[in-house]
Amino acid sequence: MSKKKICFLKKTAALFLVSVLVGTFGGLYEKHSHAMGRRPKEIFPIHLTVDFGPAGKPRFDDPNFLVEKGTTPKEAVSQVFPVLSGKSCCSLRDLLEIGGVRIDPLKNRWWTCTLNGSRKFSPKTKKLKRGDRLEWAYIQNTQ
Amino acid sequence: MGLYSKHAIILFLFLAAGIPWAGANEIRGQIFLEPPLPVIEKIKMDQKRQDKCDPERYPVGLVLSAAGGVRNAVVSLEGDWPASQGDFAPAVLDQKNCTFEPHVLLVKAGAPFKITTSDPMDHEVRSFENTTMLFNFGMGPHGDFVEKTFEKPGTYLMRCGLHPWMHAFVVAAKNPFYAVSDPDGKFVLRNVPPGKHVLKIWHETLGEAGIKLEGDKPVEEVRYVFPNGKSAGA
Repeated sequence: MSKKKICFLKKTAALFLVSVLVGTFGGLYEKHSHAMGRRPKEIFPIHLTVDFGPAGKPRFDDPNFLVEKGTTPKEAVSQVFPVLSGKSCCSLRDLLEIGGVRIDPLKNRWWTCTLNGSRKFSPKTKKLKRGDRLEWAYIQNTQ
Repeated sequence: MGLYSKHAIILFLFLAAGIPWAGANEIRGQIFLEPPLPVIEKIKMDQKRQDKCDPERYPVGLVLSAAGGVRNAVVSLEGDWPASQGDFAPAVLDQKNCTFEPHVLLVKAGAPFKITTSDPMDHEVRSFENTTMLFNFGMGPHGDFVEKTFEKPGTYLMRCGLHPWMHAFVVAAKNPFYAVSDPDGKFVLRNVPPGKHVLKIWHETLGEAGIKLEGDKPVEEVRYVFPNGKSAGA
């Protein structure tokens, strides 16, 4: 084999090795940095209120409550108060209790959730947006 | 005089002398609310949820006769009795004019009962044991029915998810000695074994009470007056 050919083969092998190393460690770095939170999710404010109504606990009201992008109404309230899930209506992920105040089917007391004045959404899946007005309210149906 | 006639005379004399009763007893009673009786006013229905239901109705949580008799109180005997000692009639919980009928339904624990509707609109039946929902299902207009069973004895709350004023109770009884008071507050428990008993009275808004009975008479009369502390109808 000529010297030129050997040199060419060495260069090719070196290039191959470098590209493999870059590919492997580059990918790992990216994965690792994501897991370490070096690329933080977007954080934005919403207006969160929690009204305990007939339970008599003080109302929580924060017009600049910070949430991460992708946060749901249920996750947002759980950042402030401990919540308990269970079947109150439709699934085992329904919200039964916020801050120690539990639904009371006998007294007709329930937790309701409104987003920008509407109730037509799922508090378990809806993703919050910047500036949303989210209200959790403990209400008593009097009828 | 024959042997049988002699026995009959001896038996008669014993009975006349007032020996303790050994047969099945009956407990009759009436339940009242202590005066002054509350004025129960009609409530107006939420227009959004009114559907074709009556726009106004009396609350069903406290229903009183003019004399203060308490309707829909559940009366039962405490203790364990063989389940074979009796049975209830086939039980049906209906929905009529956006009201559960009857408001308190007795069923035998472990026996199926029917939930039906006579209404021309949709309902969504929900059942709760305390704060836990056991089942829910939707019902279309007229005649539809679903069979359910409460295996565990207890009192189960029923609600409609579409009409928030609609509620009722299904009492799954563990023995045949249960009754629901009528519009005058009256009730009867039949075929009660002789002996001392504790009579339990439960009402959804007035609470619970227990009465000790001697159980030494063929017919025992009971009168209970709920103290007037809570009088708001639910």
